[in-house]
Amino acid sequence: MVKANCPSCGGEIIFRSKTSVFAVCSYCRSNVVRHDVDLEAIGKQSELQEDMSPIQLGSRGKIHGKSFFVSGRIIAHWEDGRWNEWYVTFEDGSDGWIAEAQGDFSILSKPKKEEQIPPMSKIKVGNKIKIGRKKFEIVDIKEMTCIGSEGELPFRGIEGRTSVSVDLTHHDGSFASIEFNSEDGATLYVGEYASLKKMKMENLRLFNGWGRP
Amino acid sequence: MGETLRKKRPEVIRPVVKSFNCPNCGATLSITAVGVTLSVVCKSCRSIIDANDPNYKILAKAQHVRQAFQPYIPIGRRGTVSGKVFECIGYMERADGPYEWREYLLFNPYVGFRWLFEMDGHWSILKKLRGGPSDTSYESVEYKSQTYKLFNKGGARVKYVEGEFYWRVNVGDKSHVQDYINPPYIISEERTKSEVNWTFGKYLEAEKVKKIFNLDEEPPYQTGVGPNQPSPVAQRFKEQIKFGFQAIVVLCFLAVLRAATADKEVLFSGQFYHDDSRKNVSSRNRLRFYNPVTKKYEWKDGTSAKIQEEKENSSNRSKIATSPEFEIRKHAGNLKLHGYANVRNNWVWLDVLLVNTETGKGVPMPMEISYYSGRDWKEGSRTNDVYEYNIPPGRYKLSIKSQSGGRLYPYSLTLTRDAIIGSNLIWCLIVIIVFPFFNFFRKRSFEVRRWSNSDYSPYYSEEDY
Repeated sequence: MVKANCPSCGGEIIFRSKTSVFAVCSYCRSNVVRHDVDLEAIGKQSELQEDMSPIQLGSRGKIHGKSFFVSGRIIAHWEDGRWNEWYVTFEDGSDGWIAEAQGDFSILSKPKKEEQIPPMSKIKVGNKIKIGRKKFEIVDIKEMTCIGSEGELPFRGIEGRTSVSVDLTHHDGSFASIEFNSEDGATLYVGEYASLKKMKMENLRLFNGWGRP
Repeated sequence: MGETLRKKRPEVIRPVVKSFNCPNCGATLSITAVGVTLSVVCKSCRSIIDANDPNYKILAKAQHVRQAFQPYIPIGRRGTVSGKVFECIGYMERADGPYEWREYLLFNPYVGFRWLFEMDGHWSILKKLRGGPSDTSYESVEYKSQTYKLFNKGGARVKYVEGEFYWRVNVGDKSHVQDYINPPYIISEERTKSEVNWTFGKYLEAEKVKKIFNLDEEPPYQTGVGPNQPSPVAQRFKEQIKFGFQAIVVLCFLAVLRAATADKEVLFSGQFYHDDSRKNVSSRNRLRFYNPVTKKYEWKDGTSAKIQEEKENSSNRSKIATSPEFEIRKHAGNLKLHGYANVRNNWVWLDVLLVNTETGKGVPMPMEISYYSGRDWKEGSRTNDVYEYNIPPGRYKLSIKSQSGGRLYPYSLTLTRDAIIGSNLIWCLIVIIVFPFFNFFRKRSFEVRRWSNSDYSPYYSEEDY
């Protein structure tokens, strides 16, 4: 855990993950880039568009015996809606994501072995890609734009950042996600659909009148 | 010094609500599933608005859409299902030609969306299946090691919408739907040009829907059998088969027990010959009698006992015979009189009287023995059994007057006390079997009615031939 001060307003910024390169100051909404020695503010973000997501920065959970902590979020927008991608840090230092879309959650982490990510030319809905020992089917390809972020992220989560998000599924319920970005390259995460209950999530937002998670 | 960090009580915050004005008519609209809802239908002008667009652009202008039904569950109504509070946020009427149905979108911020589907008064609660079934074929799909049979295939067209939805819905939207059933469960596959969605659901009783949402009105009237409606008879049938099996086992045990413990005391057994050349009706018999001295049953060779011929009626071919006296002990139980006559295409009528030698009173135990046969048929039997009950203990004899359609046939009689009545066992079995037997047909009739709404019925119908 690294504590630092926002170069714009001086407020405290905490980096919990070694792989975080970016954070949004919770006080002044400045986009803060983390270099080796110092921090650099590169503009400000508008206020986050609120939603009814039960997850918040600081929510915790456990999946397959590994605890994790939610430390960042990016709100992704595409032509047919928006969804949340929550950046999580596992207890062993690795990182991952909780993708929240249309009321469903999936938790993803980096595959155990370095996987060969196929080139964009092979990315077509219906194509099968081998990840690990399983053959996943591409079910969705979206062009997404970041419309806001908070907390810390492994890339520059600034408004307007575009990327191509590819969803892959396996009939046993496992899920994979590939993101292609012009600056950050291609990243692959694998995981599964999981309910808040399955992820044993705590410190969730509680909404008046909606009972308990 | 350091502060003790007291665990903060989780803060309950106000739900996030997004309100805006309808760009078409200015009415105030609000969204419940903020962040997920994509299209909202204006309550006033029925325009469909893009909730994600910063300018709330209109997706579909005010339509004079035909609303076929008033939604049974009003938009905004909340109800608790499996411990979770759901709010009905969307209502949709869809149709495939003349077949119409209604779908209600339920939302809970912690568990997401569910669907309530209603058609012909039958309800199901469904949720999106991630990943689809494990195996699909033309006629069925496999899910969680169970088979779901194809029930119907068809189109679905949106006729009317109200409330908010998580995709860009529009009146006229078309998709292809396939339903697979495994009552009470149902799996539905919905295809559009761009995607395939699987939903999994379970039948929900209409009264439960009324209760869940605390509604005053009665749910829509139910007709026919719902595709995934659980068969009330099937469960009963299963229980009856199980019970019947157990009952038969108990019955067999009791039967064996009875057979082993019944006294089967032969009070009298004898054969009667009508020999015109002989003066007397002779008999051979062995008597089993109770020796009060030794307190045991003993066999007595009955050659010494004689049947007395009493009278001969000259006009009828009949003879009267009397058995030696025997004793019926205290606990008479049942009395079984078993008769045999070697009739051939003829009959014998035995007018048997069980006479109490002390009181002179006689209890009639008449018996007919008739047997007819042809080349490939037969009717009747050479034996017969007659039963008598509640005979008080005492000393008795049998007085037998026999008549016959032809010659005087020889016959034999055996009177047993506490006999085994085999037909009772048969009747018990029939009673055990009759209920599951009828329910088997009722169950079948329910299934035939269920599948009558399907194009893939495994049953023959009038249209097949």
